[in-house]
Amino acid sequence: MVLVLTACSSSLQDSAVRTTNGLGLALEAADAVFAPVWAKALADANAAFPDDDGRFHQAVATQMQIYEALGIARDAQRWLHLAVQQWVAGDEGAMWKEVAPCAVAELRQAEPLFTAEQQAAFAVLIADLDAVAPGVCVSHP
Amino acid sequence: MKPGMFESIKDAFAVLGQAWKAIPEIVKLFRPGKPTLDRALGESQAEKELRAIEEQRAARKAK
Repeated sequence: MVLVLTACSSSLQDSAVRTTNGLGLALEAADAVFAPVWAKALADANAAFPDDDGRFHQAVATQMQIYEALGIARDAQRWLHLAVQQWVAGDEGAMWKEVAPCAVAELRQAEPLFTAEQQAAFAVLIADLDAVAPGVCVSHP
Repeated sequence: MKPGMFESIKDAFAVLGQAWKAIPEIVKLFRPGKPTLDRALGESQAEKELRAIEEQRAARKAK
């Protein structure tokens, strides 16, 4: 019985680790593609409106939406990474129990930004996390 | 890649979707067996670019 539970937990952990790593790599790849475009938009707006913050922000508004969307996804990955790190380290105490629901909450917030394939992968992961550490995110530790 | 590729969020996440699809296969090639957790994400290049511009604008105002 213990062996079966250990094997199941290990399989869930492997799945969580792969998903966390995959999301991290995907976000780094997206950043590598987006950053040069973003840098040019910022430089152009800065040159055009060096002393007018309102018009500067207006000029980069579209790019800023992408920047913020990627930021939400990165925050979700960071929380997920922390939760999985605690889990893999064998922390069965309060830290893991608190962090896992917060990672799930962040992932759900970022979910509309992802493609259908990513959402399907996250649904599996969220179910795994909910099963291992059910609860509600009260506050980020 | 065209400069106008990131004109919308949809375009940006279409690229993210393509990257996502390729990654599991790449990971499998280089990491057979039990996976280990990668390092946590640090500051992105996009975040660094914004911080640099904000610091530049703040310094200009301070003069």
